[in-house]
Amino acid sequence: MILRNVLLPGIVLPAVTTALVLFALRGRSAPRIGTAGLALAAGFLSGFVAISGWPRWPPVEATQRLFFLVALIGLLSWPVARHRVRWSDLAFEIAAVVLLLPMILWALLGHSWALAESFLWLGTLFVVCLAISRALGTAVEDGGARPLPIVVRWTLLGTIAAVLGLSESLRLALLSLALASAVAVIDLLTRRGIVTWRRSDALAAATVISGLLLVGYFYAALSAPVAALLVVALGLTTLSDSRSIVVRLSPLLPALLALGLALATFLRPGDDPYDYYSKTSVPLTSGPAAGSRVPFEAQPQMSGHPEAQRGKTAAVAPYNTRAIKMTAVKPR
Amino acid sequence: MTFHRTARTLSVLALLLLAPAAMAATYTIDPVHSSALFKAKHFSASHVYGAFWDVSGTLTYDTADEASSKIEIVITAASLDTNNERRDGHIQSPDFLDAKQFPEIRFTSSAVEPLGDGEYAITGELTLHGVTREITATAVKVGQAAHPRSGKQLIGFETRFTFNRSDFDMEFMIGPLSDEIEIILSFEAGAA
Repeated sequence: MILRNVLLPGIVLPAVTTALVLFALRGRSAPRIGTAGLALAAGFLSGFVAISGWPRWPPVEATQRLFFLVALIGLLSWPVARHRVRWSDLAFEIAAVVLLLPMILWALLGHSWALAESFLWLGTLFVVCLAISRALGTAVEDGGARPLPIVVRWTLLGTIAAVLGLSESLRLALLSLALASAVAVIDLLTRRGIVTWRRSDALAAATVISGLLLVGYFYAALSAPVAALLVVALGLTTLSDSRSIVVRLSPLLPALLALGLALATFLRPGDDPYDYYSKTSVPLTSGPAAGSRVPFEAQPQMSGHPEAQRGKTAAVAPYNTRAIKMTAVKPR
Repeated sequence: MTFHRTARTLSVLALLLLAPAAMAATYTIDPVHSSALFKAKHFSASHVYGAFWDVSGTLTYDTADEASSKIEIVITAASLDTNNERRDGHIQSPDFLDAKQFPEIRFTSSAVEPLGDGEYAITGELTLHGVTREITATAVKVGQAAHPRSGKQLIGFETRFTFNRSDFDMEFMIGPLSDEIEIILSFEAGAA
């Protein structure tokens, strides 16, 4: 099941697709400029289809709109990288963020949010998403094929996938894994000189990361502190060109903190209705054997329990009988 | 004479127009006495049940012309309950219902066909996960009575139908969780 549901769609298919596109577009002598972005988008999109199926047109859901935006960015990254003019990269990034935000937040803009709140969110998130885009572009351009920036990048992407998985959405985690797989293939091939990173190539990755984090925060259970730590970690990748190893490894600290926080939240004791029984410290003196079935209303101390108040009379089994006084109940 | 004839014609027309309307009554679905249950297969080994507790809507029921009846049902996706908080959160996440993006599940009827013996084939549009599709379900009239205290007319219906969640763009984890979902919807409505 892990092979079919996780490894194949999340890792193998994106990696193979990315490599095939890169090899199909590679130049004879020098690495082709601008192919990395297209290959990365193709790899991610193939993983998307394997994980979530073909998106509907017109798209109805945030990740479906992200699919089409990434496809557009992938197609445009090639001419933008090849015909580089001043400020073209920045303009490309601004355009991508301007399109991304309403596409992801469509369900909230004008529905759950008032006008002022919408502008506040859009303004703030525009700055955040643009910062992520600029940082990742700088990281791939300056860091290039060097091992340490690559390791930091892979760790960061893997952490994002893990955090999204811990935020009640395995689908977002797999989509993030698909991106990480595509990025890993490009990084490996840049070290062999088959392809080079350009700033515009990283925009597809930045768009996917920003989009998935936005979906995770607004529509899944990604918490604000964890999201903030991941944004800080992504922002610190801009220091990948520093001479200090500590500075170059600095993105890992907030990333691992985010992972720890997400894990702690995930592993907290849940709102298990049966937890109520273990909290009662009165020892069992008599009553039915452990594991037998007893209705709620037969237990005097359960009258205030939310389950009883909701009229749920379904029997509870099995439960921890050691902590409950059952004197009023006769075994059946 | 012409005036009297005209007045008589208008009166007859008014009676013909008003008479059917007097037979059609509008009912409001009572969330407290309504339930929407769903069933899915888990790893092809067992059935897992859950419920939506917030069911609301309106019913226009015409006893003289049942085929002209209309119903609209709205279910709040966040009211999902499978008796497990973590599972509830997962089903409401972008992996399945995406309840924050699509907070309502809505059914609006377009045609009602009486089948006899209190059964009706109801055709309408089901909007789920942002996708709208036409479905037809057979509903049974459970009963009709006056509330003993308020005297308000109560009416109840129940229906069962199945759909494939992939038809509504919920294609994640098909296999571990079945594509086919069965719905059991029972509601009580009181005269407005």
